[in-house]
Amino acid sequence: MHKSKKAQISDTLSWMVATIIIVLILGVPVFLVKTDMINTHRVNFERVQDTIATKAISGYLLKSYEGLINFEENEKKLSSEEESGIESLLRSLCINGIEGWSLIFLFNEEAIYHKGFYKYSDVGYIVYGEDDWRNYFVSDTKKFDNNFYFDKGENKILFDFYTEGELIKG
Amino acid sequence: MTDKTISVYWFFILFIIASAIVFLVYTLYGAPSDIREIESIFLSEKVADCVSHGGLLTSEGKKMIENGEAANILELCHLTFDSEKVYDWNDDQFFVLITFSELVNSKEPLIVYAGNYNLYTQKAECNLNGMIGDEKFPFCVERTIYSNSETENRGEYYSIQIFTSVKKMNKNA
Repeated sequence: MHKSKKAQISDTLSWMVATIIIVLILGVPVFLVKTDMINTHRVNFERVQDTIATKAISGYLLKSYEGLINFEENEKKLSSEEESGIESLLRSLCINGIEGWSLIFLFNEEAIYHKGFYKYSDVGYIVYGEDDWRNYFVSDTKKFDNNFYFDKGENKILFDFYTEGELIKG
Repeated sequence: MTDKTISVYWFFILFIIASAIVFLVYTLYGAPSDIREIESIFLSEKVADCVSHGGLLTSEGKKMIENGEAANILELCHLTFDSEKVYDWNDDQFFVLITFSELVNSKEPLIVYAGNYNLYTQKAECNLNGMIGDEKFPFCVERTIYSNSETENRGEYYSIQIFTSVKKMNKNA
C-alpha cells in the first residue's frame, strides 16, 4: 500500500528528528569524556572527618589545655606561647591541598575566641583573629568539624576546630 | 518512505546507539582507576595511628624515637610494601618518612623512614598529574600531628611530620 507524498514526508521528518535527538543525547556524554570534562581515571574520595587533624588537635590540646582552660581567668587573653601554638597548629593542618582551618573557643556556648588560618593565594596564607574575621567569607561550606569538650566546674568549654573552603575578602 | 527503507534506517540507528554505548563504556571503565592518592592518605593515616593515640605517643612511636634510623617502621606498624611483580617493579613503589621534632627542648629532629628513598628525593614532582601533558607522577601526602610522651605533665611534646608517597605510575595512572 502506497502512502501519499505528504505522509511520506511527515514519516521521514519524524525519523530524522528522532535521529538528531538520539545523536545529541549520546553526543553530550561522549563530548564530555573526550574533552576530559569528566575525569574517568580518578576516584573521588569524600570523607566526613579528617583523622590526622583529629590526632594533631588531640595532641595539641593535651599539651595546652591548662593554658586554654584558664582563658577566662586570664581576662580572656591567651599567652603569646598559646597564641603561637594555635597558629602553628592551624598552619600545619593546612598541608596538602586543605584550604584552611578555624578554631572557635566557646565558653558556656558563647564564642569568645576565634582564630583562622587560610590559604589566600597559591603562595600565601593569611592568619586572622576575632577582631577581623568578619571581613572575610569562605567560599565553601564546612568540610570537617572536630569538637573537643572540657568541663571546668560548672562551666563548659568547647574547642571547635573546622576546615572550610577558600577565603575571599569581603 | 517504504518499509525496506525504514528497516535499513532502523539498523543505522541501532548501530549509532550501540557504537556510542560501547565507546562510553570503554572510555569510562576501560582505563584503570587511579587510586594512588587514596593509598597515600590511607598509608599516612595508618602511620599516624601507629605512632600516636589520644594525643600520646604509642609504644611503637616511642620505640622509633629510641631506635632512630634503625627502627623498622614496617614491622612496628604492621605494614608491607610488597607490590605486584609487574613491569620492573621491585617492591619499591611506596615510601614513608616520619620526622619527630621535639618542640619544647628543640632537639635535633629525628628521621625514620621505610621504602624507596628515591621517592623522597623526587618530592618536587609529587601530585603533578595532569599538569604537564600526559606525564605521570607519584602521589604524596604530607601531614603533621602533635603528640606527648607522657600523660603526667605531658612529658616531651613532639611535632610529628608524616610524608608518604605512592609511585605505581605504569599501572594505575
